[in-house]
Amino acid sequence: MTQSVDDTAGRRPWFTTARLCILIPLFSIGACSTMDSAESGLQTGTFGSEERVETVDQTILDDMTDIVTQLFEPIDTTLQVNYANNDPLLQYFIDQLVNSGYGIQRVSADQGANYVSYRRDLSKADGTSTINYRVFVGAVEIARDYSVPRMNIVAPASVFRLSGTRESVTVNDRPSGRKIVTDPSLSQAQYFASLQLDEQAPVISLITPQLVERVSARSADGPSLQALNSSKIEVNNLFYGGGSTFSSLLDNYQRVHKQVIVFGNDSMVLGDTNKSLIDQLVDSKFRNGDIISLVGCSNGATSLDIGNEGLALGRAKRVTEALLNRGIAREYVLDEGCWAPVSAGDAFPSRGVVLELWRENA
Amino acid sequence: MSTVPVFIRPAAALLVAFALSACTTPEVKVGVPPEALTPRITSKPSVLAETDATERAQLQLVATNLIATLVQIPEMRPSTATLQVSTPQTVFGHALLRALEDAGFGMQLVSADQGKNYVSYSKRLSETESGEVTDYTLAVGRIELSREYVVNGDAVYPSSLMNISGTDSIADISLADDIFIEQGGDGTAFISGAIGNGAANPDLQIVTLDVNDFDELPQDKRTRQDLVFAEARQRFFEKDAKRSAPDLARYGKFRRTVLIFDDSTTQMMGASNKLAVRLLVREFSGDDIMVIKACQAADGTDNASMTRAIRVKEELAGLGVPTKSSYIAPCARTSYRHASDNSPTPVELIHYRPN
Repeated sequence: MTQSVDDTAGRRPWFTTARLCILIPLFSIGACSTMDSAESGLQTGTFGSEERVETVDQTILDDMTDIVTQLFEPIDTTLQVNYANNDPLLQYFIDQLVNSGYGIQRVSADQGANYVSYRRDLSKADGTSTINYRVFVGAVEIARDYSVPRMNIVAPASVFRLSGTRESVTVNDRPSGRKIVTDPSLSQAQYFASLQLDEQAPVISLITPQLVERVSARSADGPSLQALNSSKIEVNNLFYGGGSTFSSLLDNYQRVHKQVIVFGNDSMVLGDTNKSLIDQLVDSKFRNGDIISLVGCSNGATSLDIGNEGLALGRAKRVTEALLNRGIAREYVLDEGCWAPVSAGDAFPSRGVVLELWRENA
Repeated sequence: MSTVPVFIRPAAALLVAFALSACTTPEVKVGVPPEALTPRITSKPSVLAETDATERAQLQLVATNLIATLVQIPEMRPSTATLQVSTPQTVFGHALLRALEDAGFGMQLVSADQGKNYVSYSKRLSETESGEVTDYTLAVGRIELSREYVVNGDAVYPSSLMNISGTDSIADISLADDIFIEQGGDGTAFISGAIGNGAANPDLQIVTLDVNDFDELPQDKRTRQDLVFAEARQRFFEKDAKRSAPDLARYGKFRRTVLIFDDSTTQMMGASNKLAVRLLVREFSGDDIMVIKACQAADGTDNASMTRAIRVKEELAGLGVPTKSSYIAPCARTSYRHASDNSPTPVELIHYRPN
């Protein structure tokens, strides 16, 4: 036993040297390989995520791609996406858009008229998962709910809801191995208004010299000369005459239709009849690219605290919302007002909104 | 008496010597991974994987140099130009397409040579009296850039002027040639400058840049590709602002809005600001101009403000306002704002109409 210990002690330098022989090269190689991995030339952003996208999401995003291609002409449209966003769902969606022929611009923030983003919300009720997808392309929003009855199978749970466009689309809900259609009545698109950002939108002031002159000349107790419309753009009170605040926008357009929506006394309630009139205008007369100008009026005595100005612009806003609700983009609605405590004569109605449909000259 | 076998000591000494020699003369191998050159829109991964990392790094530098020049040509503004590309078959093609993507160009995948901004490129090797020289050419529509580069060790340097054809606007172009100096060199020198349509322009500055060993920067300190492009774009906008200052006396103010950025560093405009710009642009017509006032610095050198102004100018361009019709106003101190102030930041946008 003792001999054995002595033998070991006698061999210790040999073992130590051998260990060193193994460890030093290993350490050296390790150190050198670390240096290698630290080397690189110009650094670039990270590449797109390699994560796999679930079949359910692929099916839904394919559906969304089908609608996007009907709303935006692929060959003529460039879409913007944030290059820092390596979200696999967005990457998959972009791949589908590239394959459809769209130009893709990678931007550092949210640049561009056709900036693409999406939102996916998951909810669960009665044991069934429902996924709500909202895809945003510029000012257009596309939304739909899907249920997931079985693994990797989706079923549309709502119609497509479109905002910011009146383009007609065909919903191709063909059943497949990944998709079932439980309610064929959902295979359609409906239009709605996306009002999520109205409150935060910055004010756009009107600062023409004429307005400044008139403000300085106005009487202290008369109706105001200008106010903010529903888009927070400062507009003139048309009671005082002068042209539309947006007249320059209509230079190349001709008026093709005019109608008046009449409101109740001191009321901003639209009512079924007026809603039906707006439906008719949008469904049978409005074409993509048309502009709707409207002037909300309140001329005469009012008992409301908001006064004629609030009532006139409130009526204009109410009709604007109804138009947006039917899918017309905000850019194509020009709302103004006409307000005074006395009648405007034949120029404007006392309690109504004058709607005009303008179409670009051929 | 030692019990160590006689062969162990020399073997150990040899191994230690080998290990130390490996570390004392490290192979400073410059290289980039294939992903750094892979375009997101389309690629052939096998092409990049089969190429040496050093060659990938050299081609990335060449591509950066060409694209940083391209973004300064007015007809080729990344915010408005969409380029048509086909799947690249070469490493140089991959490097170019990735650089175009990172520079912010819209990219559209086409099967042949469709489109007015179709991207084509070539790489041609020449044997000359001064060694092998490679000529790289990039053509986008009718605009063509070409330059010769020479490889020296692991580094690559320009060996000719940048030849730009298809545009008359090359006077203000600044080449991103500093990226080659960062590689270092042993008393190497290269020529820096641009010529238009094959003819030297007397207004253009042509200089010789020397590269010494002390110029070499560690890899992680070299200028990143995205920063090279950002600087090139910023340079373009700064020169554009000086060059195209409008005579505001001939215009009257029409509309005005104040966009609020969430903080002093962000470039995100947000949906509300984008809506306001869209509504303002709705009434823009041919002879109008848009003036962007973003800078509130006292000394007139507020880079963050310039970045926000460029962001708004790009938004206007994206909505169809010609670059020459929007103007970034020089810095005008409107209120005291400390450099560390990170509160919401205003950008004033004024729509002018001719009197």
